[in-house]
Amino acid sequence: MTDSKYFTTTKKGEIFELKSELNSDKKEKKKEAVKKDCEDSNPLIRALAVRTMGCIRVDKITEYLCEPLRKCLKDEDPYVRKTAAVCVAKLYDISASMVEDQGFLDQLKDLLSDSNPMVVANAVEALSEINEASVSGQPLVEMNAPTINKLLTALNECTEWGQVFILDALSNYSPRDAREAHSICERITPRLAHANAAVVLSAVKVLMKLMEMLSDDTELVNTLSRKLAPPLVTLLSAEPEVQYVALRNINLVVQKRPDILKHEMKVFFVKYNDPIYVKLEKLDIMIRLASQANIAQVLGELKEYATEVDVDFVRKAVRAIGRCAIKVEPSAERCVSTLLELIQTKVNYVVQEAIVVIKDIFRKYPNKYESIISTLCENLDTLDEPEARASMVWIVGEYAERIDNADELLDSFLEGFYDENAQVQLQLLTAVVKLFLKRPADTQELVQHVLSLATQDSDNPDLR
Amino acid sequence: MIGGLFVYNHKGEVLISRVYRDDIGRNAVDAFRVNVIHARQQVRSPVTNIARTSFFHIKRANIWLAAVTKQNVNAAMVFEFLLKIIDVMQSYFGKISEENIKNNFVLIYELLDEILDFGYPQNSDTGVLKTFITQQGIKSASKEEQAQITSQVTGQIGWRREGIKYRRNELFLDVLEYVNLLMSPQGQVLSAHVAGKVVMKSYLSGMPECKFGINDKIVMEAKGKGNGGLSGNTDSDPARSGKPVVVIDDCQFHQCVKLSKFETEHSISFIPPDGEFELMRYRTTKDISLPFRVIPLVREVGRTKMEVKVVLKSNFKPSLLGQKIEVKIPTPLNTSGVQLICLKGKAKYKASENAIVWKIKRMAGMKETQLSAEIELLETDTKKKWTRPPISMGFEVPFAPSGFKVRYLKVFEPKLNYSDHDVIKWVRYIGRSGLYETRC
Repeated sequence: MTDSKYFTTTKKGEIFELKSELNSDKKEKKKEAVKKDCEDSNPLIRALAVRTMGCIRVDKITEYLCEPLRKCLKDEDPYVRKTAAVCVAKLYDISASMVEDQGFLDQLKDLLSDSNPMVVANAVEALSEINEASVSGQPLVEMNAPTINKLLTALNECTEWGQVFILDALSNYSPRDAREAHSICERITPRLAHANAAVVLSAVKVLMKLMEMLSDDTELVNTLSRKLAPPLVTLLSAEPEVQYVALRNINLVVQKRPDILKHEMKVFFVKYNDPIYVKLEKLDIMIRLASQANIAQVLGELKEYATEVDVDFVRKAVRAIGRCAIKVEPSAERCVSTLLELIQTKVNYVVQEAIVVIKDIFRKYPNKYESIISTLCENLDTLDEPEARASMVWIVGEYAERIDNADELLDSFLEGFYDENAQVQLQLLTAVVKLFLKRPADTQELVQHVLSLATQDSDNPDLR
Repeated sequence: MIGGLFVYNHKGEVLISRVYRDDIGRNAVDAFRVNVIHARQQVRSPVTNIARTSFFHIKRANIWLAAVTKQNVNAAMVFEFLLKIIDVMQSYFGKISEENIKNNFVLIYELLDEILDFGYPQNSDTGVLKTFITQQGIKSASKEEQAQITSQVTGQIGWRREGIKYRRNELFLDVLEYVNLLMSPQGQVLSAHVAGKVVMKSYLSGMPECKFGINDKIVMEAKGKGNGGLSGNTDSDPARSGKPVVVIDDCQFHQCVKLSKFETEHSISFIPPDGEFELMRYRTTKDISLPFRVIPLVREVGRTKMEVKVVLKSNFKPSLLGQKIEVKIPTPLNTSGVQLICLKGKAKYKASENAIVWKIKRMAGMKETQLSAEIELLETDTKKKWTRPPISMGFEVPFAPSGFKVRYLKVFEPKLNYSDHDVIKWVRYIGRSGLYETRC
């Protein structure tokens, strides 16, 4: 891990000497070598020494690092201090006990009040990681109100990564009351206008958490909700990988507070050139945001998507049409007609997916769309996926009284009984019995046939 | 935090490998290569999980950049950071390519040391990094210079150093907008938005405070109300009084802009970095003037012929010229030949892209032109209908389609003796096509 560090450049030439001196056996020499570089007049060299020190993971050397590290944590130059903060985290990784015994945790805590924001940011990150890794499971350093105040002050002046560290640390803090939550919200909302997507998302995370505490004050919650929508939408114009992360987060936001984005359906329409992972996530969110107001647009789009090239995407689009029908009742009629059109295209996986979805629609709205059953039966032969076959069987069984040749259809299924998937076999059993209950006279043989197939020759205990 | 960073070329060979944490083993490098780079299917997700280790990757120009971690890390930060690394590398040695990376690997390792200490991202601002990580060996700097460098890296104004001097104080503002459109075959706008950015090139002495004013609706309304109160005129709607406004849905600023001031008074004030930088990004969806309108007409004659007619209308002031206009009309995969007639520009059928590409060098506003094509198809027996991809357009126009206008940029440098009037200011507007598509 440390091999790549020792390249010769004039700046790092000094480190080569350090390494050679450390490899010597004389204890005194080792101590001196480490001390010398940490006391160099050039702050760049001092910082480099601290950084390199932390990467040397040899037990014998580690004890000698403590004194210089302690000095560097109090160094006058902020660059050295910030590097030293990270070094404490490195030391914790090597030997947690040493960090705790030597009082470095307290020194790190002091750095949280440092005048330089970058030092504060690094100290926060080091402390967060130490807290997470702590063996006892309890956080070793508690966050309290004055600390939070210092962090918020540093927030304004840090680099973008420092802001991400501080916001993430804030998301672990629970404010005492609504007033404190409110004041933290005020100080964080400007971050939503930052160019770095990670800063925006971390700010959203903290705000969502704080909004829980403020749920009594509906006016405030509404203002915050309105402020959250535009930055989330802007994130979707970023690079595709960042879009993907943003979409996954937006999915959660929409599940918790659907009204934040309820007017922004258009933004989630899939573009032809989006990578497949972005398309799938956008589709998911579209379904969550579907409502009576925008269902016409959504259905139009879903129909377009069902004619695309990628198989997974098309299936998901067809399934989405079904979910919309179930979610938004007045639109069910239109959804069903769209699905019928798609079945007419005779594209194999589209037809199969459509049948599965139509079964779900029948279950939700019984006795409403039976006119289409004849169309469905025409496509029986093309079904080869178990889920589609099982759905078809269920439909036949459920609406047996409307289908004249229901017994013939089920018979054709029974011919290949043993080749069928267990799911389909179970459905067949149920369907035949339903048929028997509705038309006892004609179907007696059928029932006996299926029962014998199921009990005598089958291995599946559920079936028997 | 980030446990390791790997850079691979398109064949999967490792160019750069840097591991920061012990829990990332040697086999992580190979795991990524086998499971992602050499996987048979196309990439389904930028995040891959193999054996409890997460691999975040981006692929640009045949180079794969992967960050590895076993901890629960902030995903957005990792991706933004990977994009930043690409920016920094491009700023140092130009194009990202296997050759450039191999030639500069010492520099890259130094950079990775500095900007990703123990897996925590540190200050990655290119201007600052260049002051102390140089491609030649560093000359020994004096004590003041060293202190200056460190204070700049960690400082509040970490993006500009003191003591800059220019004889001619100048600044250039480029307003670059990308118009994105999705139009239905019937001419209805399904979705349209403009993503714009303001790039500033500043050659100013000292540490000047700048204030930037635009015709943003919120600001104009506030001004209108103020003036209305004074003159007794109750008409405070700027649109009615004749001044055009732009309604900005959302905007994001460079880290030098004082965000708290923007939140309270909606004013954009900042101390700019020296040279070129992106000041702000914004997005608008209302009142966009679409520079071009594409009207497609597709007719299928039997199974062997297709007639396509495309009318292109330009919708802006006649005195302005649109440039680099390109209309791409997709054709079916079983096309055997195409006959083209176009009144303006040049049109060619490109079999490799399955499209007719129609290029027009220049077109003035309020003009109309058209292209007709007869496409001959080979007989096929596949029943699958050709899904018509949308017609896409490319262009460049010398105005901002969103209506964005720069009202002022004032410069205050109290310590040096030049005032706002002494600064030479240039503004230009460039509107480009983003994803400008019409379904057909």
